[in-house]
Amino acid sequence: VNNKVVGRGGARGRLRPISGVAALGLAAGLLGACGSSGSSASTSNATLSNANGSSKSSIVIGSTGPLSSPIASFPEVKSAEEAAVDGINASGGILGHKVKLDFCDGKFTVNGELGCFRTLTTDKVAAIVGPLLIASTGIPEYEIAQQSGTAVVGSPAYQPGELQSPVSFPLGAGVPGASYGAVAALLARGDRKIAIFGDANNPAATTFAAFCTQALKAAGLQPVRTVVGNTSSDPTLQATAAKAIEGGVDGILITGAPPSMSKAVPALRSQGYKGAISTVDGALPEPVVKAIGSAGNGMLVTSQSAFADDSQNPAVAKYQAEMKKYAPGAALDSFSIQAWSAVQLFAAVVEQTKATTKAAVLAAFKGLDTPVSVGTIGPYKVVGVTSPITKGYEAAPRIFNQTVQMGTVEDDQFKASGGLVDPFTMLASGK
Amino acid sequence: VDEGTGVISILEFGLIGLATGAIFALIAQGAVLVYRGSGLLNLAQGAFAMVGAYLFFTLHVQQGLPSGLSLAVSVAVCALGGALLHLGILRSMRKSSSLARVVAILAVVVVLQSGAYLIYGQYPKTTTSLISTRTVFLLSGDRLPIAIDALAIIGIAIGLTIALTVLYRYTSAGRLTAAVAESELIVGSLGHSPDVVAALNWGLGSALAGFAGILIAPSIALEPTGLVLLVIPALAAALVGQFKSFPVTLVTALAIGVAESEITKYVSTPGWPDAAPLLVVIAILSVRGDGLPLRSFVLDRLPRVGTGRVRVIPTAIAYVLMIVWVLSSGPDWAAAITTTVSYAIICLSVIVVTGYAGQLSLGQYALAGLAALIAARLALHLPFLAAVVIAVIATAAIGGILGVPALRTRGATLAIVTLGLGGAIVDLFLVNGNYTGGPGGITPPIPHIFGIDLDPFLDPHRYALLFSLWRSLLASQRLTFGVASSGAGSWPCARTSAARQRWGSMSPDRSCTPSPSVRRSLR
Repeated sequence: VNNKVVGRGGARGRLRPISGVAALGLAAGLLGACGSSGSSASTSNATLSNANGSSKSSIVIGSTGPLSSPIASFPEVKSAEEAAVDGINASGGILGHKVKLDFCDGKFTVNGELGCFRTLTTDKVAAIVGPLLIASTGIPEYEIAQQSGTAVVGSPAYQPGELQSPVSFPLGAGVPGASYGAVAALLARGDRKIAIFGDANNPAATTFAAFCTQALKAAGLQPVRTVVGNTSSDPTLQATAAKAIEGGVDGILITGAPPSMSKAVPALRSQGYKGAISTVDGALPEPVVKAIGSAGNGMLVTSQSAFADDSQNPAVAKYQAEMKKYAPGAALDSFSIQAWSAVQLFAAVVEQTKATTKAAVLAAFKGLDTPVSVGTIGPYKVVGVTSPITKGYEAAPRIFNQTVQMGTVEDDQFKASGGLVDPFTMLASGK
Repeated sequence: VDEGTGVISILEFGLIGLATGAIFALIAQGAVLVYRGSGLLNLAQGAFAMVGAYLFFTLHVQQGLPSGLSLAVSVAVCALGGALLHLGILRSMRKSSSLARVVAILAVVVVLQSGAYLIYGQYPKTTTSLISTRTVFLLSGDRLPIAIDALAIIGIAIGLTIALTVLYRYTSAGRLTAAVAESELIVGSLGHSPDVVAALNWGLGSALAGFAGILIAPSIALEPTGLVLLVIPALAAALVGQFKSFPVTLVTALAIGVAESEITKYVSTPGWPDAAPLLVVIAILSVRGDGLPLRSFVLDRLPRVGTGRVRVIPTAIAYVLMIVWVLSSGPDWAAAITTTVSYAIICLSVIVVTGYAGQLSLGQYALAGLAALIAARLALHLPFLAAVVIAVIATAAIGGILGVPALRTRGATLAIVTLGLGGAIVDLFLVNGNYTGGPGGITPPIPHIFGIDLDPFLDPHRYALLFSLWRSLLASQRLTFGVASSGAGSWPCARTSAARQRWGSMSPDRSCTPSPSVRRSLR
C-alpha cells in the first residue's frame, strides 16, 4: 500500500497545482456569483416587510425552544404558550382575532435555534414571543429578527443578544436581574462575607458569577472568593464546597447545571456550612429541587417572574388553571410561567395599542409609554425606562422591567417573600 | 488557628481527595479485570456503572423492590451485559485493529448513555444509598467532615483491591487469567477456552462497575453523564498500574483524587485541578514508555486508507454537485452543509493521524476547538485568511507537542493519553471564560475574501461554498500527507514486526508488510 502511495505521488504532484489554481478561480467566481444570493435575501426581506403578520381572522405568533434534545429539552415552554393562546382564544381572542402559535423546535443546537428564527421570520409572524435560547448567544438570531423587522417579546433573557438587540423586549432583567436579586436577598439578611460558587460545565454560571460580583461592588462589597466546580475532577463537589466556605462565610451565591446543583448544595451542607445559600429559579427546576432534598430547605431563590406555585397571586392562579385545563401534565416551573407570561404581555400590548401587524407590533413596543401589567411580572413599559446595566461585565440596555420575585425553598416548594421588588434600587439604596 | 492554610485544612482536602480517589479506584479495578481477561481497554466501564445505578434506581426506588434484591439483580444484569459485549461484539473483532475495537466500545458507551437520556431524561434522579450519607466529623470543632458512605467507599476500595490481588495471585482462576494475558494460544492448547476466560472477566469487571455505580450514585447524583466520564481518571490510574497491578492502580487512583482536591484548594484558575494530575500521569507514561504491551498489538494493522490518488474528474463532478446543492437549498441546509463539511475536515485529520501515521488519537476535536479559539482571537486583529493560516500553524505546533507521548506509547494506550490531553485542553482553554470571551463568546469581524463578505449567519450560502471548497482543496492535498507520512505509516509496521518476535506471535500479519525503505533501515 505504501509503495503504491509513493509510486503514484509523482503523477499527482504535477496535477495538484493545476487543480488548486482551478479550484481557487472557481471559488472566486462562485463566491462572487453568490452575491445574488445576498440580493435574493434582500428581496425576500422586502417581501417580508410587506407582510402584515396577521390574516383576517388570526394573529400568528412565533416561538422557539428545545423540544427534542435528550440532553436539554423544555417542552413546558411550548405547553405553556399553547395554554396561554387557548385561554386567550377561549375568551374571544385579541381584538376579536384568534391567536395561532407557530412553534419551532430549537433542538438545543446553535444551527437549530438560528434556523428557527429564520423560519419564524419568513413565516410572517406578528412577533416572536417568549423564545427560549440556550445553545446560542442570541446575537445572530436577533440580527435576523432585526433584519426582518420582527419584535421579539418576553424572552427570558438568558443570552447576551436578548438584552442588547433593538428589537428585543425581554420579560424582565434576565440573568443580571436574577443575579442582583440573589445578592440583594443575602444582603437583606445582613450577610456580608459572601462567596460565589460557579460551574465549569455551565456558561450561564460564569455570567451569574460576573453579575453577582458586579452587584456586590454596587453595594460596596467584594466576594470573599469565587470557586468554580468541575465535576470531572471533583465528582462530588465536596472539595469545591470546602474551598468555597474556607475561613468561614455568611452567604453563598450559587448556580449551575442541574447535575452540579444537585451535588453542590448537599456538599456545602455536608461540609458543615450552615449559612444562607442564594440562587436563581432557573437553576432549580423541580427535579433538581427534589434531588437536593432536605439540604435545600431555606435556600433563597430569585425569579424574574412570580413563582409558578404562588397561587396567592391571582395571575399565577390563572396560569395554573389554564395549564391544568389546556396543558395537563406539563411542568409548572419558571420556564413555563415565563413563557405563559410572555404571551400575556404580547396580548396586553396588542390590546392596548391595537397593533396587529408585524411592523405595528414592533412600533407599539418601541413606543410603549403606558405601563402594562400582566400580574406575573412587574409593570412593563419601554419609553422613559433606563436600564440599570449600561456598563460593566456585559452591557444590558434592553431591560424594561427591573422587578424580581424573592422567596425561599421550603419542602420542595418555592415560597414567595412578599411581592415583586426592584433589586437594583435595593442595592443602590443599601436596603 | 486554621484559616485555610494550616495542617488541618490540608488534611480536610486530602480526606475529600481520598474519597474521590476511591471512586476512581472502584471504576479502575474493573477496567483492570477486563484488560487482564481480554486484553482490551474498557472505555465502557463508567457506562456500566451508570447502567447499574439506573437499574438499582428503577428496581428499588421506582418499583419498591428490596434493596438487596435490587442490588443483586442490577449487578447480575451488568455482568451479563459485559459478557455479552465480549461474546457478541468484541470476540468477532479479535483480529481487528485497536482503532476498530475502541470505536466499537465507544459506540456501546454512546448507545448506553443515549438510552439513559431517553429513558430517564436530563435531570438527576434521587436514588437511595445503601450506606448512611450522614456527615461525621473526625475532629472536634466540626473539623475534618466526611460522609459515612464516603468512608465506606474508601474501605470498600481497599478491601476490594486486597481481595482481587489475592484472587488473581493465588487461585487457579486468577492464574488462568494471567496465563491468558500472556498467551491465548498456549492456554488454548492446554484445553482452556480464552473466550470463556475473557467473557468471565468482562462479566466480573462489568459487575464491579455496576456495583460501584450503585455505591457512588447517591454522592455524585444519578444522571447520564457523570458516571460515564469517571472512566478517564480511572483509566489513567489503571495505565500507571499497567492494567496488571491492583495495588498500584489503587494507590494511583487515590493519588489522583488527593492531587485534584489539593489543587482545588490552592489553585483558583479553572481547569488545573482536572488537567494537572492527568498531565502528570501522561508524563510518567511517556517517560516510562512501552509501559503497556497490548496483547493485541501483535495483531494491529493499519486501516485501509486508499492510494491517496485523487481522481480529478469525479472530484470535480462531486464538487459541482455540492455547489448546486448549496445554491438550491435553503439557508438552514446551507448552515447544515457548513457544519457537515467542517466535521469532514476534522475527519481528514483522523485519516492523517490514524490512517497514515498509524496512531490512535481521540483528541482531534479538542485540537479543532483550540484552533477555532486561536483563529477567532486573531481575527479580531488580523485579516481572516491570515488568522486562519496562523491558527492552523499554531495548532500544528501544539499538536506536535501533544504527539510526544506517541513516541513512547501506542495503540489504545495512546488513545487514552490523547483523550486525557484533549480533556486538558477543554478544561484549561475551551471552557475558560477568560479565553473564550464570556457569555457572548468572541465575535470576530465578518470575514472577507477577495472583497466579498462571508457572513456565516446572514450569507450562509457563501459560507457553505467556502467550506466546501476548503474541504476539496484539503482532500486534493491528501497525497502530500500520504507521501510525507508514508515512512511514519510504515514505522508502526516495523515495530509490529519487532513486537511479534518479542511476544512470540505465531500468526503472520500480511496486512502490514514494511516498505522497502523501512526494510532497509531495519537491516
